[in-house]
Amino acid sequence: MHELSIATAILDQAREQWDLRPGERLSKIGLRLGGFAGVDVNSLTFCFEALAKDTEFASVTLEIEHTAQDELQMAFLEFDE
Amino acid sequence: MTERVPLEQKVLSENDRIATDLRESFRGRRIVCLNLISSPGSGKTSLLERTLARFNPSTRVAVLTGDIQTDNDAARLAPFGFPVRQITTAGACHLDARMIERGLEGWSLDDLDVLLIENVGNLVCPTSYDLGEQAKIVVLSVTEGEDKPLKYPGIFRKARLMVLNKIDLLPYVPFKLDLARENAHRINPDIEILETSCSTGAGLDEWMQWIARQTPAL
Ligand SMILES: Nc1nc2c(ncn2[C@@H]2O[C@H](COP(=O)(O)OP(=O)(O)O)[C@@H](O)[C@H]2O)c(=O)[nH]1
Ligand SMILES: [Mg+2]
Repeated sequence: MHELSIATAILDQAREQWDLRPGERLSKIGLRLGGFAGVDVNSLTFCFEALAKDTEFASVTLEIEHTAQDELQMAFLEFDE
Repeated sequence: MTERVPLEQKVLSENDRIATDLRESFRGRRIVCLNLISSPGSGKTSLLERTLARFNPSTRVAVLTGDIQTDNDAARLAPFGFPVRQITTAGACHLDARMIERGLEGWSLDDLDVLLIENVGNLVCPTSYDLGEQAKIVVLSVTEGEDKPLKYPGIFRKARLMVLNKIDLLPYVPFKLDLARENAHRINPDIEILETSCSTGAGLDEWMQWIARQTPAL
């Protein structure tokens, strides 16, 4: 249920970085998601896609690496020039 | 050409930033802040009613209680004479640090010893949101089944204390206390466990003593 606010936070944080790189296209967001983070992957992916649709991030892939901790971390961003 | 830029930034960094400020301001004033989390109906408000009734009136306690709708819980807690505020989240399934910051507006933190937070009834979402608390407490009632620590490991891992509530109902429900304890310890070997009944008052002395032991770190 709170995956919507998490997806919003992911996009906000990605946008902050994207704003610093004029002219580049954000292509991928790398996320590390711990099994104890209390976040449902399907629901998160769904919310992410719904929010990104119709924005400049519509084609951004969300790559999720699953870990054993309780982390919920933006690991990397990929930009195309 | 694709360039990969390492970021290594927590997703909820904005929440965590506010929570860190809150934690510092609680620590600086030696306020003990506890965040109670459970499914709806496990007995968070009942436990708070019992707690407020037992606090020495000279202890400066305040309560923030979160629900999606209604101020029923604040109304239940108000008669005890301590400041109580309802936070209605209008749909959100958890409290976040900003709601706590707003909820505290107008209260003088210098006049506070203990801040009790009742989170929105939910075993999953509140787990992700740091509220600046000193400890998370998970309340599990005996009608919910012993397997909940295994099914919802996130909160049992993060909680310092599990309160096993409604033990007065043990004669009527097939709930194995030992198994519940074992499951909680499997997820979190350090978790402390108390057994309580808000109906009979069993275990509430131990609960009050537990709170008294949570002296804030300097
Ligand atoms: N038998 C029994 N009922 C309890 C106990 N604690 C709470 N309840 C009841 O459980 C219901 C839900 O309690 P409440 O405090 O509102 O739960 P909350 O949703 O976690 O705040 C109420 O009807 C309470 O009277 C207990 O220790 N024993
Ligand atoms: Mg309640």
